Amino acid sequence: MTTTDFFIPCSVNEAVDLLSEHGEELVVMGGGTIMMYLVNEGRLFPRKVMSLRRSGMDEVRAVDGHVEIGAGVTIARIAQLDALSILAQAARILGGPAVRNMATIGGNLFAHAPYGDLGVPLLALDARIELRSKRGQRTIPLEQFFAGHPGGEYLAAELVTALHVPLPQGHGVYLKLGRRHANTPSVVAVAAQITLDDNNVCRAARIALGAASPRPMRAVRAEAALVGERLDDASITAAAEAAMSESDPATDALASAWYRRRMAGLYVRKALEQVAHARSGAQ
Amino acid sequence: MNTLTDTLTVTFKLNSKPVALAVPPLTTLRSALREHLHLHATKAGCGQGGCGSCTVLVNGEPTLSCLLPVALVEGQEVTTLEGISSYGSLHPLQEAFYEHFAAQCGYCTSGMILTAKALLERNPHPSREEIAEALSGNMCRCTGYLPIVEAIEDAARKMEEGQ
Amino acid sequence: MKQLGIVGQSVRRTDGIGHVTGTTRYVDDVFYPNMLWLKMVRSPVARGIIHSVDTSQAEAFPGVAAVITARDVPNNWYTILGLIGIGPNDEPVLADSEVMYEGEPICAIVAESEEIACEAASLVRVEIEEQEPVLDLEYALSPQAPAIKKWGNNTYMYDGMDHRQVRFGNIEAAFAQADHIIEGSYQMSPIEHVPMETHVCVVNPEGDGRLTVHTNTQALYFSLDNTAIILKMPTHRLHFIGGTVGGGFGGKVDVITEPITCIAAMKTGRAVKWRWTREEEFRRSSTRAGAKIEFRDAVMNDGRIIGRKVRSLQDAGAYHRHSPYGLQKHMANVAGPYNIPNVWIDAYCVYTNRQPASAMRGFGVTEASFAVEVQMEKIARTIGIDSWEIRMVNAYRNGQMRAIRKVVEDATLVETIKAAADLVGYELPAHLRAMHSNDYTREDNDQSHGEGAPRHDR
Repeated sequence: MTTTDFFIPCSVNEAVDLLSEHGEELVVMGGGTIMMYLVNEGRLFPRKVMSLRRSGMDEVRAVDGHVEIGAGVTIARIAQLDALSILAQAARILGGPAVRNMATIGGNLFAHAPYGDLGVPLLALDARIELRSKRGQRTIPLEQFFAGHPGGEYLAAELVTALHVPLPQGHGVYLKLGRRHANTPSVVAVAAQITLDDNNVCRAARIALGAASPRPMRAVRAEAALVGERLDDASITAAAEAAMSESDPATDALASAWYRRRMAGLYVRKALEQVAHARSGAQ
Repeated sequence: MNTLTDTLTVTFKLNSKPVALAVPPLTTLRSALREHLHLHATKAGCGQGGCGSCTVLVNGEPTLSCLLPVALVEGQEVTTLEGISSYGSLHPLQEAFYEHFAAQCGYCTSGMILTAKALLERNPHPSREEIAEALSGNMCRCTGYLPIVEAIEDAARKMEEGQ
Repeated sequence: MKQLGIVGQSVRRTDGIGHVTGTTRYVDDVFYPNMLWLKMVRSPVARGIIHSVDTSQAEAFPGVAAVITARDVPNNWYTILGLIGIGPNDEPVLADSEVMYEGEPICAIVAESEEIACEAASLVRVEIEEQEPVLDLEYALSPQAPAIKKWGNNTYMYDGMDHRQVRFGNIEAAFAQADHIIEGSYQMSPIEHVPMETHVCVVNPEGDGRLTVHTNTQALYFSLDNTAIILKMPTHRLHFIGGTVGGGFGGKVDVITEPITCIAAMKTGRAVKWRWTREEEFRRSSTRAGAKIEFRDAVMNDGRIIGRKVRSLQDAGAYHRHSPYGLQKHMANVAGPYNIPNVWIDAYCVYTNRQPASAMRGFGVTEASFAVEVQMEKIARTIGIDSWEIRMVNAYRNGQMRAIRKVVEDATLVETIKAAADLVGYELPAHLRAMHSNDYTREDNDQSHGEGAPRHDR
C-alpha cells in the first residue's frame, strides 16, 4: 500500500490541475528535504505525491526593479544571487552543500522553526509571494502568507509559484546563530535591511527574525525604534530590547526560549552595529 | 505528464552503464541502489539528509540519495563509490584515504570520497577552508576529520601531478 | 637483536581497502531472499500503566506477516549483568503491564517492506494511563518523588544499601584542620554516541533449527548468551555473526535488537531485518548516564588537598543495564589521581523515567575526570596557586595508599605532567621540575598530611 502515485508534472498548469483533481490526498514536494525526512522516519504515509522538480518554476528573472524567483529554484542557485545580498548570504549557510543542491526556496517557506531560514531575509527584503490555484493567481506580502500557513503543510489548496523580491536599498546584514558553524538549524537568525540618509538618520528599516517565533517574523517594534532616529548606540539598544520583547521563541533540543530571546536581542544589536560600521567605513 | 501507479519504471545511467528499474513509486535512490541493485557502498546513516553517508553524485553534483525519489533521476547520470574505480585499482582519493587512515568504522567514507571527488573536479587546489566547507554536510564520528582533510589535500596534489 | 617485522612499522588497516571501495560488509548490507522488515511500537509517554494494546488494525494491514508482543517472549527479562550473577530482573524485553520511559518497546510489527511495517505500526492503539514521571536526579532521591521501582525507592540497591561508599581516613578531622573548604557542584547531561551506523539486526531461521543472527553489537558473546536466556534456548542453536561495527563507542553493548528479531524469524519462518532509524538511535538507544557530582574539599594553603568528600549521582534512566557496574568504576576514580589521606564518597545509581543509560567511552570515569579537573582549577584559583602546581603537589606517587585501598605502583603521573609542560613550551619552576613518582617516603607523608590526623579510621 502506502504510496500509489508519484506525479512529475512538466508545467505549472499541470501541477495546478493535479492539485485541484486530487485535493487532500496529494502531498506536494519541492526538493524533498523536508517531506522525505518524515517519510523515512515513518511519520508520513503519503498516498499520492507530486514533485515540482520539472514543473518549470526554476527561473530567475530581473523585472522592473525587482527579481522574480521561481519557487523551484534551488538554494544553491539562490546562494549566487548577489544582487539580493542578504538572501544569498542566508542561502550560502543553509544546510550543507548537498541539501542546497536539492532544497528549493518555495519548499523552505513551509519548514517549521528552527528551520526555514530563507523566510528571514525575504521578509527583510519586503518579498511578495505568488500563489496559484485553479481559481486563479494572486500575489500577497510574504508576512500574510506566514500568518495563514503554520508550516509543514503538504496538502495545499494553492501552489507557491514564485517570490517577487524588490532590489534592496541601503545596507543589509544577515546573521545566523547555530550550534555549529555549518549544517545547523538556527538558534536564532536575523536579517536587517536599513536605509540611512546623509545625516545617518534611519529612513527605512526592516528587521526580521528566524527561530524567534513559530514562523519567520518582522520585528516591527525594533524597526519602529530606529525609524526617524540616528543609528547610534541608543537607538541600537532600543531596537535590540524591542526585538527581545516581541519575540516568542520555543524551547527545543537546540536551545531554550530564554536563550533564544536573549540571542535575538544580541544578534539584532550585532547586525545593526555592522550596518553602522559599514556606513562609517563607506564615508 | 508522468503518472506512475503502484510500480514505477525509471531508466538512468549508473556508473556509466544504463539501468532500468521497476520499483514502488516513492522508492528513494538510496533504497534503489542498496536494496534493488545491491550496490552497498552508499550507506543508510540517517534518512533525514543530515549525515551525508548516503551522498552520491547526480550529474556530478553531491546529492542525498535518502531524500531523492529514484523517479527523479530518470535520464540522469548517477555515480556511486563503486563507479569511481575498477576492480583492482584505486582512485587517488581512495588511495589517499587508505594511506592517511581517513576511515575507521568506514560508514561515512563513501559519502566523503564522492563529495571530495566533486570538489576536486570543480576546484583542483582547494584550501583547507574550502575542503571543510565542501564536507560540511558529511559527518564522521570516528576520525575527528583531520585525516580526511589531509587525505583530500594529498589526493589533490597527486591528481595535479598525474595530469 | 632479532629483526622485527611489524613493531616499529606503520601498518595500514586490514579493512582499509574494503572501507574505501565500499566492499566492507555491515549488517545493513545483509539481505536474504523473502526477507521481512520489523518496526517497533514504542511508548509515547515516560511513565504509565498499560491498560490495553490493540493490534487488530495492524494485523489486518496488507503485507503484515506477524505481530510480536510480550506474550511471545519466552523469558521476558533483559538483565545484562545477569551474565555475572547480578540482578534483579527489572527490564522487560517488551513492556507488558507498565512503561518506564518514553520510547520503551511494546510490540513489534513484521511486514513485507519497511514502509508497510511503519504504517502498520502507526495503527497500533495502546491505552496507557499516564503517571507522573521522575525526571530529575535530586527529585528522584527526595521523599516527594514517587517510587518507580518495586522495592520502594529510586536507587539501585547494593547488598541492601541504596548507595556505594568509600571511607578512608577521617574526613571531619580534615575539615577541622583545613585552611580552606572549597565546594563545587558539576553536572553532565546524558550524551548520545551518534554512531554513523544505527543498530541493525538480521536473523535467518535455518533448516536445522538454528538461528543465524547478524548483529552490529560490540559484545557478541554478551548478545549470544543473553539472547539464549531470553529465548530459553541452548546456546548451540544460535549462530551469531558479528564483524564491522559502523561506530559503537559503547552504544552497541546492549542486547537490544537480537532477541526480538529472533522471535520474529521463528514466528514467521523467514529472515527478518530490524534497522533502527536515526530518531530511534538518538532518542531510544542507550546513552552515557547523566551525572551530578558534588565536592567538598579540605585544602591547605600550600595546595595540598587533605580531605575530599564527594556525593555523586548517576542517572541510570529507567533500567539499570550496566549502570551499577559503571558507578563502581566511577566511584573508584572520582577522588582523582591524587594523594588524599581522608576521603568520603557516597555514590548513587539513580533511576529516572528516561531512556536507559549504558556504556560510553570511559564509562563512569569520563564524568569523574571532568568534575575532578574543574574542581582542581577552582581550588587553584580560590587559593591562588598555579594550575600545574596544584596537580603536581597532589599527584599520587608510588607507595602511597589510595582511598580504594590499593597501593600505588608504576605511577607516571608526575612525569606525564612534566612532559606535557615541555610539549606546550611551559617552563616549570625548579621545585616542580624536581618532583617525580618515586619521591614519596612514609615519613614525609605522615608529616605533610597533618600531624595527629589518624590515617585509617572509619
